[in-house]
Amino acid sequence: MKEADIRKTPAFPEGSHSEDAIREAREAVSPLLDEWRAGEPAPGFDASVLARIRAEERPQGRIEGLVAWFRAMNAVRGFGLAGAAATVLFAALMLREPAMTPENLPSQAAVQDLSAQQVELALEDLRMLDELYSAPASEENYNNKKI
Amino acid sequence: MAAEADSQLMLRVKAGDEPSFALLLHRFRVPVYQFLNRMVGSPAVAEELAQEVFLRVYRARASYEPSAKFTTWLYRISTHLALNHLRDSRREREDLRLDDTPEDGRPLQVASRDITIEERLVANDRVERIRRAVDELPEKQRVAVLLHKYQELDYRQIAELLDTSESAVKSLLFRAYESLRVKLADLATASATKAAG
Repeated sequence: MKEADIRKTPAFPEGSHSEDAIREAREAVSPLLDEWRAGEPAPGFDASVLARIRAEERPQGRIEGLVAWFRAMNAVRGFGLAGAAATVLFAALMLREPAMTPENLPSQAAVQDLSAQQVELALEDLRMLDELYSAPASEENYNNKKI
Repeated sequence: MAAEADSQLMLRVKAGDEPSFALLLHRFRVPVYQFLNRMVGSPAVAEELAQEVFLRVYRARASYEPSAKFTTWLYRISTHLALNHLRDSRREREDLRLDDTPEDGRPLQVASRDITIEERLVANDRVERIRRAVDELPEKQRVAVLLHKYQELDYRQIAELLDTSESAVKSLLFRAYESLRVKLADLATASATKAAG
C-alpha cells in the first residue's frame, strides 16, 4: 500500500462499533466488487472429478486383488510344497528304476518240457551247491576251535 | 440449516454414500471454483485446483468430524491449495491488455450484459483494476475479503480458517475494505457520475 493510501485509511475502531465500521467499509466498495464475476467451471467439471475419483480407486482395487491373490497363494503354499516334494521323489524313483515300457520288457521266457532225468540232474546240482555253500562255515568253525 | 445439511451429507459420504458426495460436489463446485479463480486469477488453474479440493474432500471423508461447519472445512482446503499454488509458482502475472483473453480462451467475466464493444472494453478495464486492487492486498486480507464478500463466511468461520481471532479478522477486513475504497475511489466516482447522468 502506498504511503498516501495509508494516510487515507482510517484506524480500525475497536469495540462494539467495529462491525458497523466493517459494514460501512464493505458497502462503500461492494458495488465495485460485484462487477468482478468469476465465472463458472466447465460443464464437465463434476464428471471430471468423479472420473478422477474412480481412477484413483481403480489401481487400489487392482492392488487389493493382487494382495488377495498372494494371500490365497500363501494359504495353499503348504499344499504346493507337498506337491513339489512328491514330484521330485517320483522323478528320483523313476530315474533309479525306470518304469516298464515295451522297449525294456524282458524277452518272452523260453518254455520247454523237462525229462525225469533232467529233473534228477537239476536236483543233484542243487545238492552240490548246498554242500559247497555250507563248507566255508564249517572250516571257519574249525579255525575258531584251533585258536 | 443448510450448513447442517452439508455436514449430514458429508457424514453420509463418510459412511460410503457416493451420491451424497455428488450432491455436495454439485452444490459447491461454483462457489469453490469462483473463490479459487479470484485467488489465483486463472480459470484453468482454478478449475484444476477446484477438482483437487473435491478430491481431497473425498480422500479425507473417513476422518471428517462435524466439529466445524462443512464450508469452513471446504474453504480451508481451498485456501490452503490456492496459497500453496501462488507460493510455489511464484509467477509474475502478466498485465492483461484490453484485447487479451484469459489463457483458456474464455472472456473476462463482467457483470454487464447486452453492451456495446466500447462499453465492454471499459467494463473489462474496470474489472481488471478491481482484480488487481484485490490482488495487491496482503495475503490474509485478500483471503478474508474474498471469503467475507463473495463466499459470505462469517467472522468466526474466517477466524477459524485463518487460525486467528475474530477481532483480528475484523481488523483485517476493515483495513482491506478501506484500502480497496481508496484504491478504487475514481471508479466509484465514475459509477456515481454515470448513475447520476
